Amino acid sequence: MLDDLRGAPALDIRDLRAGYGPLEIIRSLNLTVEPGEFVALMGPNGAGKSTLLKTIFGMATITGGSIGWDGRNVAGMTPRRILGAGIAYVPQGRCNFPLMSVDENLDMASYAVPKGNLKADRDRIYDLFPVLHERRRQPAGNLSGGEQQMLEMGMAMLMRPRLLLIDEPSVGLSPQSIQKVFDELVAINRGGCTILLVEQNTRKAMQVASRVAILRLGEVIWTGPPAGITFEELGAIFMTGELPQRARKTEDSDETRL
Amino acid sequence: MAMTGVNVHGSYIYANPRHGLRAAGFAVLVIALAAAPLVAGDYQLHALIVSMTFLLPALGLNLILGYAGMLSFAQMAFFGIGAYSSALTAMRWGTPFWLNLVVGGLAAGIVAVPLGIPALRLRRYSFVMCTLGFAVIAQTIAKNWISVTRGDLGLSQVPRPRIALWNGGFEITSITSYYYLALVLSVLAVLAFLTLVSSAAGRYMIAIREDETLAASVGTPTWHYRMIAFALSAVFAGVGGSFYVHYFTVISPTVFDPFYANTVLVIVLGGGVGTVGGVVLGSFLFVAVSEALRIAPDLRMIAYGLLLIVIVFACPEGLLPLFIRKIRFGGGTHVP
Amino acid sequence: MLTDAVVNGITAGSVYALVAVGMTIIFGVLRAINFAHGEFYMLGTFGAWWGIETLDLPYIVSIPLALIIVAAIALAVGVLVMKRLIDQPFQIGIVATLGVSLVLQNVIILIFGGAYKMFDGGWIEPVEILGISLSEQRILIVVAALVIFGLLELMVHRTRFGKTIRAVSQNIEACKVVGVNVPVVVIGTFVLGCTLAALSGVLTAPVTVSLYGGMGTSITVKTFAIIVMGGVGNVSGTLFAAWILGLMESFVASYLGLQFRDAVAFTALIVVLTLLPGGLFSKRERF
Repeated sequence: MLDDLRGAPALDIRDLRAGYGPLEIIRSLNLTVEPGEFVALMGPNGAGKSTLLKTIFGMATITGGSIGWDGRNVAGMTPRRILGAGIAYVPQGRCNFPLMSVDENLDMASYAVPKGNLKADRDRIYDLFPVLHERRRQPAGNLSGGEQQMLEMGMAMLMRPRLLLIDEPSVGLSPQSIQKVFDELVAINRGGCTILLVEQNTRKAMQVASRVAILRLGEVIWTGPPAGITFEELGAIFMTGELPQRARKTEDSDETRL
Repeated sequence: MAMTGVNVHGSYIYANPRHGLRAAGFAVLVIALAAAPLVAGDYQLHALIVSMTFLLPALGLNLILGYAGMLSFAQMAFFGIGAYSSALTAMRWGTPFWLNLVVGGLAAGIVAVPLGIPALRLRRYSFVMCTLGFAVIAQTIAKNWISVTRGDLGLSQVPRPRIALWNGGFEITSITSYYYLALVLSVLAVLAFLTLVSSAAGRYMIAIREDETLAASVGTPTWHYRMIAFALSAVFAGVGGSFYVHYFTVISPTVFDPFYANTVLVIVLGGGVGTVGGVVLGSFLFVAVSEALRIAPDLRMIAYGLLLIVIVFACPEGLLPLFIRKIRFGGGTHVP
Repeated sequence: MLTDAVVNGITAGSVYALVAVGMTIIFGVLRAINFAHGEFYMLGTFGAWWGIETLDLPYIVSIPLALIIVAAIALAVGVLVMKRLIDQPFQIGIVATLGVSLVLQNVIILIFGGAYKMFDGGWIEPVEILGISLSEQRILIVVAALVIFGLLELMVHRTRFGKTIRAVSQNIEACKVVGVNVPVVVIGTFVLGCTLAALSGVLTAPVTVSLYGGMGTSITVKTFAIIVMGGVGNVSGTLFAAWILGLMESFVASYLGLQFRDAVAFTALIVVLTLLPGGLFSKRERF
């Protein structure tokens, strides 16, 4: 249905091939994401989950295929233009300006927003993450891991993205911080922002995601609701790289487990 | 990308199965060079001799940069130290030529060790700065230690090489005999270099260049091998300096000028860092050709400058890989 | 003799500081040592000399002229060369800027000849302050250095461009993530840094009087020593390291002999690096 906009996918990745230099990590990957979805990418190490996020954000070399977003192909665009098209990215590990204050970090993100207002933008993020407000004058590098993760999410949200790419937000965080980060992600998603999440903590990811996509060797080998697959089956995929028989059937018949 | 410390492709240079081909190319080159005096005039031979004197410090730089992954500007300091020590020994004690070469190489190598102690603890640009400092300080010493070096005047009338033979030997004076002496030295230096880098020590150096933390974690004494690379690079430069001074028979503190250090850098990077063929090619291309064409020094330096810029961006592996890319392509083992 | 040595040292230190601070901010954004930095000092001097000799301009007019010329050259070099150094290993930067330095130096020698030129301009009348007699030009140099450093501190902490420079030097990946136009910042910083070097050259020319195409090399080399001693990327550390070097050189020249002056920078550098590999003013906050 071309004229039914609600039915059109927001993100439409077709036959994507990408990697770093001569090294191809994404091989013929297909994935569509509907507006407002919360998709968790899963798969063993080296499956290409992080590379996929980087590729969508224009930070890897694309050797083939297309990345449709809002009806246009963003493959090959610079990160700045992709950001302008409404896609924000929160990479794995610490990705802020460690010697600048929390305020200044948010300002750096505001600069990217046309007609951005530093004060109003900061306040919007401080409403979202009150803990950052308390530490606004501290250098970002002095914040705890969880606080830095929230700062980075805040910086991404400042740019009012309609698609948020977020890579391993829970790595190195305390259980308490992890819960907080995931609560915020759910809130962001409820606010209408589509999310593509890469997460090693499968339990957590399956709790919050509306759909799971499993990658292996640079391809999506299964996608469906979190309820469509058990941890045991996931574990089997990670160990053997093979899709269990039943899950394969689930995909075909589109029926959900239980 | 073979010039970088974080290089990932460099290892194929050593894993190249076409050693036979390389040996054949090397033999052809040596025979061609040996025949050169039949066709070349004195000026062309002179240009070739100069390029072969630059080959030695360039091999030394290739060792420390291409194999140990550290960019050193100290090569010309060691070249000068070799030249001065060899000249002074010969002038004072009338020592034979081969001994002067040894003195030149050893003096440079011995000076390198205490300099390496502070320098090798440093990384990246701090190391570069520190080695640059050695050249500046060496020049100041050469200018000011007048009782020994005669300051800015420099040393002149350095004895020509004497080759001792059963019949009493002979003194090398003609351009052609200098040429053959340079050729023999260059061949020996290249063979020594190849032996060195294919030895266990050479492999450790490559391991350190590729991933120092990893090399250290599997028990490689990284500091130890960096010191060996640094000292040996100085020995190569020192021997080169020794030959240089007995050829030109004069030496002054200008030998420490950045001009010469830049030339050595152009040879190694332009030819192909981490390769022997590249350094040989670089020496002939950038010294002999420009010398033989009598390009005015300022124009030559502009050309060098543009070449450096083009090379680092367009072919960071140097010109040699461009020449033999086809041959290399089949044998390469890319290590991701 | 003592006051002379101090005055000369502070003047020379201020000259070095203006050159070095440009290199240190360029290093901050590019992680590349600019081997051509001294050439921009030389170009500044030549620009003003050309304005005075050929266009018959007064010194005060030739100052902005020289700065505009150098900024234009720096812009060209920035677009053609420096922009490509983003995300490259540090050796690439060394070789590329060495190439730029060879080109600039020898193009000047080709155009103007290799001989020394005399710089005829500036305010060299001596004035007496607190019993010390010194030329107006020296006062101008020191005051200019202080004002420029004050402005630089304000710029990096208060303005958008300054904050962006800090951001690029702290985390280039994060810059891409928040949409900073990194190449523009790199080129802008390069032009600023080179123009500061040129300003130093223009202000110093009346004191040093002679100029020639190769004069940049020794400045570049000393600047390396200063930025490493000052802690690379550290603006105020650079000023203090430059003054310390200026004073040391001045004392060595006065009490040991002029011929030892040029070795001071590197002897000090090697001593500092041996004792404190991070530099004299190494602290986490760089700008």
